[in-house]
Amino acid sequence: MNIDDILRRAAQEPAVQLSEVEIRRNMRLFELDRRKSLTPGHDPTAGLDLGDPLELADDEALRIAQQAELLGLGTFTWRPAEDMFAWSGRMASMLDYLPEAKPARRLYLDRVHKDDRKTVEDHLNQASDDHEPLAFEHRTVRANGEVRHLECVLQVLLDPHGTPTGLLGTARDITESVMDKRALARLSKRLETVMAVVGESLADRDPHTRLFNRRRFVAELDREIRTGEGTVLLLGLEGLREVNRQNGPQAGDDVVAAVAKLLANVVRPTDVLARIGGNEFAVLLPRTIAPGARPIAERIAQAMRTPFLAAGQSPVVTRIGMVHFSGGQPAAGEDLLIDADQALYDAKERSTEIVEGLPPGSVSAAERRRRWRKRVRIAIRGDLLDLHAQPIVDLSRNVVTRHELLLRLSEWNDPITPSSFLSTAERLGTIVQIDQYVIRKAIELLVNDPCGRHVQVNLSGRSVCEEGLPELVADLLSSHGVKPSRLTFEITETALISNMTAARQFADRLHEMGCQLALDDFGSGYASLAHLKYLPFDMVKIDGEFVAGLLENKSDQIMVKSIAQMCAGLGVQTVAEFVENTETKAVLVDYGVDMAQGFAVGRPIPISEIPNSLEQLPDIIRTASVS
Amino acid sequence: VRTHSARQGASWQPGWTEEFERFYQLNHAQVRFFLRARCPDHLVDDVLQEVFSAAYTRWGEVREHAKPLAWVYRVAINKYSDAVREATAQHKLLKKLHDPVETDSAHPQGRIDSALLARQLLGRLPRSEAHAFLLFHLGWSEKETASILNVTLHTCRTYKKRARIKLREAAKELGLGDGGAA
Repeated sequence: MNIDDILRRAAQEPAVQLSEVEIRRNMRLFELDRRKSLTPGHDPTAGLDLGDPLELADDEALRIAQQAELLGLGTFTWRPAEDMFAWSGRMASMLDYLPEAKPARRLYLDRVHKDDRKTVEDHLNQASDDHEPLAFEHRTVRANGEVRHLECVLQVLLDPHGTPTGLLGTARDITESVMDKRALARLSKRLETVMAVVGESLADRDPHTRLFNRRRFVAELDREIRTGEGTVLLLGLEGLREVNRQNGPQAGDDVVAAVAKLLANVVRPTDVLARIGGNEFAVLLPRTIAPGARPIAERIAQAMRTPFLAAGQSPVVTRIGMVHFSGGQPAAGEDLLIDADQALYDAKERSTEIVEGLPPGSVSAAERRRRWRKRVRIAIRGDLLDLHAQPIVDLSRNVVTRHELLLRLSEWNDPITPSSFLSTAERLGTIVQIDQYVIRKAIELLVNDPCGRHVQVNLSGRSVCEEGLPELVADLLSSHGVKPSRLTFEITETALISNMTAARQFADRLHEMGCQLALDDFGSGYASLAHLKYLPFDMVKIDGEFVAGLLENKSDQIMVKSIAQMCAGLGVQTVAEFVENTETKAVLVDYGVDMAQGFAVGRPIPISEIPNSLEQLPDIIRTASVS
Repeated sequence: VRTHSARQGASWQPGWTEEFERFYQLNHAQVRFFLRARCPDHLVDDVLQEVFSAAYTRWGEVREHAKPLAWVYRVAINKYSDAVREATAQHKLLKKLHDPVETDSAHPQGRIDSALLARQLLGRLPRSEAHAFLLFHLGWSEKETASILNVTLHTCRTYKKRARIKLREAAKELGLGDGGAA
């Protein structure tokens, strides 16, 4: 096998051949272009050299200079033996000399940036001595101090006998291109830095209430467990579904915000407060155990009896699960939260306001897992897991073309966002069953969908590393006759980080199958850019933290715009999450973001209520301005 | 130099459409192969479309050339440079994606492997050297290649010679024996 063989084979590659249909289609396009070109001012061929390139001029230097002029390049010739140096009018202008200035090698070098001067001289001498063409870049400094960048090619001129007589140089002003490259390098670096810095603090907060989230709470808990004793209170709100039903979805969000505010006033300054799930809050009471913790829990319960809504409307009931821990133990914040959750579960089951969990150390890991497996089994078999669908609009068409499937847990006849439930399930290894349940439901939904829409399914980190999952997906798609391209799997950065090799294999297999992959919550985690490079993502979902305040926040604007540009360059589609108003949608259109998801597009609805046709949304206001 | 402003105002003649369609059908794949060796795919398609559209629009003039395809190559090379400059930001990121292509380079059996390998090998050359080598490979003489690339004959020969040396080295590195570049 030699290079000629390789090139010959490559030239026969089927990918470079056009079908008859493609040729006809392109001919139609060419004809349209030709007709357009007949309109004055609309001819894209204006300025092209229409001469035959093979009609060789005797004088090579003249031929090259003429072409260079047409392409906006400067030219110069240097014949050392004759001590002759000449340049074109365009070259004089590039060097910031008047057309009447007498060309000279010294004048050229005078305009070269002092740090590049020696290199340029060396190149000129080398090309002249070695009779070899050379290409190089250098800076020039104009009379007013402006620095420009030139790309030069030196060629050797020969007389009819083949004897070198001098050099011919062509120069192209590449300043804009150099600036673009620098700007891009700067932007990429800044994007990574900003994401790492901002992501760290954002990753610790619940976006809605600004309280600590589950991750940060567990970290605080781990630290406390290592150093001292204390108590964890886990609060669950019941009745939010009814609130939403009676007063609209915003009312539920308002109740959650009011609860956060109230709890912040009730707990002590040394306590740690967090929102760890859709309707779950947690309080860490450091150095406070049984005798002192109970009154605090009761005080919170009493405060929570405050009616959050006007009289006559459904009340929101609070249950509290409470567990104590003693100091000096290995960090096991997650386990403690699971025990607190079990106590909360018992409180709901017994309709009691406060339930104390078992003493620390009395629940073994095996027992904890057994209980959770049972709870997950009940949730799946008892149809307590509901699927809701949130629409995603294609901003170029303003049509809802996709839905993200979201789980709701109805353990207490009150569907909630089961983030806490899912976190625990993930920790105890039962999440895979839940993911498989959702995949089955998603595929069933696609079978029965009359308008061929697309659904997106979230996958946990555990499932990403689960060996048989791609095969299961393939079997289900094939047995139901559903096209893989209608299914997108959303994977979070956190899920990827835990096992990059497995994630890569998983992503490749699903991609080969024809399913699409989306990188969820882009920007809120770590090493996002590397993920985009190494994994075959079709879509990036820009984290809502960058979108929610887009109209006011300059940094968010720069970041969202940059992400959109970067992804467009990479051929990756973008979806903005948390789009809450039409003005934000309009800005996203301007930035080139492909799709939007959020309350301005539509809230999650039960999958049975998905419309039977693709929804056309009201026109986007395209003139929105940002601060 | 004959530019648009100086062109003869040839009006469209019967039969030119069919004539150009044959020209397009015959040469499209070769020009695409040439551009793909050193250019991200999405730019290749844009440039190809623009160049053949321009050739069609000006077919009255271009068809009179001894070899109309030479004109197509020259315009393609210039358009490609413009497109790359305009898309610097995208190009830089895409280049990262295209480098390096994983392939069983020691024994490229199939056509796809050969295409990837050709890209990998030519990707190691400066653009001008890769273009000179490819045009020669596609059957253009040195004089014609020099004219298409708008360089001197001496430069064209040097580019070709350098390309051959570098390709041979690259082939050795990839375990293709001495490469045997012609």
